[in-house]
Amino acid sequence: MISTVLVSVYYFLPAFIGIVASWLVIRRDYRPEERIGGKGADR
Amino acid sequence: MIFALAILGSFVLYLAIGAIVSRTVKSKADYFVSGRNAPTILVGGTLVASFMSTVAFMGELGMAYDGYPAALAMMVALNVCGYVGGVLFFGRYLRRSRALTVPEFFGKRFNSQTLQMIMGITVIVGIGFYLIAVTQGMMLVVQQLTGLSMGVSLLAVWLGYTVFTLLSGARGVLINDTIMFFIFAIAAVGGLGWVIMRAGGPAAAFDKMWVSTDRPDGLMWHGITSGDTYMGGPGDVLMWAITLGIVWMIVVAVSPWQSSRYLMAKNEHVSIRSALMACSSVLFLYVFLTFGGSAIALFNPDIDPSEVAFIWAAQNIMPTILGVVSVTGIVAAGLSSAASFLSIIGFSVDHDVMPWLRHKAGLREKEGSINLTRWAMVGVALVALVFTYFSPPAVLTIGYFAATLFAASWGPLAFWCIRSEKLTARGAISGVVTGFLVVGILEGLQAFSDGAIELPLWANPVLIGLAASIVATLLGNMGQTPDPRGTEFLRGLHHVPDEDRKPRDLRITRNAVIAACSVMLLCGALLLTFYAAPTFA
Repeated sequence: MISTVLVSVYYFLPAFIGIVASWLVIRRDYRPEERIGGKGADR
Repeated sequence: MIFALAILGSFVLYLAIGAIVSRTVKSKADYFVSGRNAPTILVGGTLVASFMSTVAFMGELGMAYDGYPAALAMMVALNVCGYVGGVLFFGRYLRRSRALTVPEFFGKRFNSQTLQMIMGITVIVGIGFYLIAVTQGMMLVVQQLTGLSMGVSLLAVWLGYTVFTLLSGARGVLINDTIMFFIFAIAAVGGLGWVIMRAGGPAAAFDKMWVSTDRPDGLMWHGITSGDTYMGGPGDVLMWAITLGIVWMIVVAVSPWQSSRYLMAKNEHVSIRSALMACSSVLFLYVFLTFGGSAIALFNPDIDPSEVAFIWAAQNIMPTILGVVSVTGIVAAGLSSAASFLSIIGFSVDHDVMPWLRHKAGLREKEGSINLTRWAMVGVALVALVFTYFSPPAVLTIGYFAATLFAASWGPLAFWCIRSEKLTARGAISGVVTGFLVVGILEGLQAFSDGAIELPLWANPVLIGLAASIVATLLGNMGQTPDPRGTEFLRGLHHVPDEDRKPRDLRITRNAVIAACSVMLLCGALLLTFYAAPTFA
């Protein structure tokens, strides 16, 4: 029955998408501060 | 007899932990927020333990047993999303505020002691209801297993969590919650996994449930189609799963008994990892609570009330040792939640309500001591005892009622106040009070009128309450200017602390994200394999 597949997918998909999306926010907000002058500035 | 001894033993163990931990509590910060240095395992453990209580192991499992496991699963699917959204859009800012209680955060955000007091009162009333529901559940368990009278069972349970909470405060709750989390996780996975294996293994158990004549269509998304169809038709069930899913999503995101756990975290990464741990753990455990609970009906379809289905299974289906662990797990789930609730109510009385009353009475501000907080808790606990004794048992109804109160009154404000600088204290107070009253009155009329008052689907109390709270906030906000100190406080909250920008922390959090995603996929694979695939055979 297609409804059982829908229930199974619905069970984990919202949280799965939420976690993947949250990673994008986490990566943006907690990115380590770059050194002044950017990458390779101390060469 | 062995079950009674196990419960007694677990009570003694928890009290011993409380007594040991109480020796390490030196300050209010230790007592209220466990010194703000808790690691992921403790914060994640307490998030799940204070969320899952007798409401889950008795009320909701009873619902799955009655023939609504898929509806419950659909509700939980939305519910767990609240952990991830909650920590990112509210919890981490709450932690940054370094408040001792969640109402204090709102008070600081709007520079309003009155708002803090009102939020404190909603905590006392709303969580007070939840405490009654959880205490009732534990009382039923103890009564069922020991044969003691209702009054004696209630007194034993009440004394257990009250003495424990008085002794150890948040630190003890944190440690005990984590121990209890592991015990009831074993109970859910081991105990209900055993039930499924005894029914012939997952494939055979699902086959039998699909053709069950006692629970026709019990595995369908809308639940049973004949017999005691107390949830109504498919439309009612779907509406229930979506609205309650959203309600619980908001509750796990912002309610004081969930969000306050982030105040104890060592750093923001710990808060985020704890939320990921809670999200994946709850989703995984409910695979067993829903379909395992439903499988109990294969052995005995006539357990009455259905709230005790798990206890019946522990006594009659599981081997003694697993049965003992399972029953102890239910008590652990109840005790951990009750201790959390009592501590949060006590903290609010002492920290959010009393200072406002002292201020209004023109009394001098007192430097609060832990002993004063303990006395506040004794008072709250006594009131809860009296109310529980005189309330008719309705674990699920009262628990869900309390959840809807917080969703409507706290939900909009919690997210809104982090994003908008235009909100004012008057707007916030209008929104919270209106949401609380509208849901309280409508839901109360519906839930406790024994079916005499039945609101139509479109007039769902929570949706009306949410809408009323938003409208009241906007109206209350009109013509008001935000307090500059509140705005300054908000701007400070949006600065990510430097100590949380370490590459190593980010790497560990990334691994936690991968682990949580893996658990999600595992849950989906389990359902697709055992629940969905056989219907195509």
